[in-house]
Amino acid sequence: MTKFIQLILIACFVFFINNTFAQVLGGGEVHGSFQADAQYYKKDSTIGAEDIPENLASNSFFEMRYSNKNFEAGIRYELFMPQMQGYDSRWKGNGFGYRFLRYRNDKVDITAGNFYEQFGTGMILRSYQEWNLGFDNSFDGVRVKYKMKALTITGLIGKQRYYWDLGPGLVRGIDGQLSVNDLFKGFNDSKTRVFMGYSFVSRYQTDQDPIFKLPENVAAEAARLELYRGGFNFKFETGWKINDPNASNNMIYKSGNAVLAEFGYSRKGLGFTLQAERVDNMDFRSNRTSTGFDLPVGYIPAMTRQHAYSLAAFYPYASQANGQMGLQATFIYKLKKKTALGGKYGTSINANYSISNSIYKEKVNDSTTIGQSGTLGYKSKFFKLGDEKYYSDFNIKIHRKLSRKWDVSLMYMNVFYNMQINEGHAEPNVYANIGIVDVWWKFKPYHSLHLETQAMFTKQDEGNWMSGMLEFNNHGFFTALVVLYNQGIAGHNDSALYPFITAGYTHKSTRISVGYGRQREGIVCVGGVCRAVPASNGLSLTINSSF
Amino acid sequence: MKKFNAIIAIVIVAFIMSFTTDNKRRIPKVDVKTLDGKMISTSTFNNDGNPMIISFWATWCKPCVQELTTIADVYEDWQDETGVKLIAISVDNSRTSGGVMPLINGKDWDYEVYLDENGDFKRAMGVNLVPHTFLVNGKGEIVWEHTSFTEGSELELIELVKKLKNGEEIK
Repeated sequence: MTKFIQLILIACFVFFINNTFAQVLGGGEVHGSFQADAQYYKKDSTIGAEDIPENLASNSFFEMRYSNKNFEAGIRYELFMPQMQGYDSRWKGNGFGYRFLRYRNDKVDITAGNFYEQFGTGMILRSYQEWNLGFDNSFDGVRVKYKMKALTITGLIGKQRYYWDLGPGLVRGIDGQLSVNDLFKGFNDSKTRVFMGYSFVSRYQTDQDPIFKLPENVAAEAARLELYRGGFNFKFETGWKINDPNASNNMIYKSGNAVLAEFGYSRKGLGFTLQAERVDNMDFRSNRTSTGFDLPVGYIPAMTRQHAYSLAAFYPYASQANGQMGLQATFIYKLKKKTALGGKYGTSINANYSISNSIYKEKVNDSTTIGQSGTLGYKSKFFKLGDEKYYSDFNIKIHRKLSRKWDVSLMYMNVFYNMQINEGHAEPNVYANIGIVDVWWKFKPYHSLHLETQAMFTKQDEGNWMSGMLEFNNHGFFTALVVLYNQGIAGHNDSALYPFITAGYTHKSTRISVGYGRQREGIVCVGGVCRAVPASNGLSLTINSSF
Repeated sequence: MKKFNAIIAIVIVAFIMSFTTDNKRRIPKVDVKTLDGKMISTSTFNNDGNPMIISFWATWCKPCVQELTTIADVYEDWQDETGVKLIAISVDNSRTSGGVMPLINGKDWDYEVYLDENGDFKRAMGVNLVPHTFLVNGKGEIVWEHTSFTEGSELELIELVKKLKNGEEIK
């Protein structure tokens, strides 16, 4: 009897909630997305693929967001059981790695829980997530944004995510972004737009070092300016950090500084950008003993192009937050259609050049070596170049639609890659030349055949590489064969073949693909998307969906 | 304890049930940056009652650039026929966002382009792979979405835009 009454009460309660809450909470929405990657591994000594005891590895996540008027809540469940090869072993496990509550209206935006944030270009503060790279340095804390007409102020306090835990450092930050045009009535409608910003970030971490006396509160500041007028734009950000002896700079007491500048001009059919960067001892983390990809608070970008072709992205530059000087120029131009050079539909030219170098360092005094721990480390002259080239990349790509059915792209690239600085081992620096031919044949509506051939010529590292990909698309279905071949260098490394076959189907926002074979880690653009993939050997399955 | 758990479970289900009815999805309110430095809210996206296409892309994403280049060839015709507007959201971070302006102009695109450097809008829309394209009807409701691009996909997109323009429902 009591059970029956309880059931009636519960039914009434459900009915009541459904009607009243639906009106009170009327307008609420639930959305989310998920991705599941599963890999069945075969042991393969040629590509260094280890045998994993579980045989099957999987990286998956499921995130959901509930929003209703000004309120939002979200949660993400993650699973690494175990983590796929190429992902840090500290990811192994499962749980809710991300959850937040948020309230926002036109003036105020408050978040409690996990959040991502960037101040300016991210130089002294940037938290972001790249699931496919196994990177997540979200803040767990509170963030408040206050928006006025011309000024937006953001304040935050929290600790950063460290796999299934939190980093030891407590980060506090405040940022102001000012729209100068909105500040002065007369300037409101000007064709020149001016923006300024300032940020201050401080990390607190207790000093437990037995040898050195370390600053427990490390402060960093950055100031920025952006100017826009017509086709011209100019961006500038400069940051500095007080002494922060840490594991990556060998415990020196030198302060840090960084400058980023960008100048651009573009008009219809033409675009040009010139960027320059100089960074000196700006590695800023939540934990002074962390290295590698762990717990960075600031983000110092590599001043190089991010390539989408696998051989072009073979030797990527690793940004050196503790010392680098770089320049990058990009020029994109469209040869007009129906001209002799442009062809019937026009031809697109995309050229890019970048170079990165070490900064100049000299001794502080005669009795101290450069970078000696516990000292000021070194002295540096701002405009003087260091004596070591880190990276250079010249690439040019030409794209032309030949007819309604044929599309061709040709690319040439020349790259210099300092092996020691980018990979940390004393092997000869790489000089490589890369050529790519990329052809699309749309033989029937909704049907296409895509052929991509790449070749890289180098006398260093593992020698020449060649890649061929043939992809067939039919409505939402795709299938592709990718063959990667390494010629090897006699007496140094044997030749190796990486065959890989994949097929998949996309329906609206759901995409499923399976693959079998050997794959090198890198960026892969197949089946209509580009993703970063880890090294694999065996059978793989990927599912993506959004709702 | 078991009973208590059961009640909590039912309350939660009821809670969830109460807002899964009539889930007309609207564009979440997020700040994105214009190509001339201004921060604007995505709630200001509007096309006077005409359909809108919101496409997430990046300079390093070949299929994305391919999709936008393919549509650029027929964009004028699409606009004449349906009044549709394409809003291209670049998810390039501060490393590659400098390449957005030269690419847009160099390729001669006429879209409305915004920067989502730290992925705030991307996250709010549940975008994990790019390209990811959304179709928004005249009332600001998201009625269709699609990920990945292969040649010919734009034909499906324009068919749906025409349907919306004619007042038909999209399933």
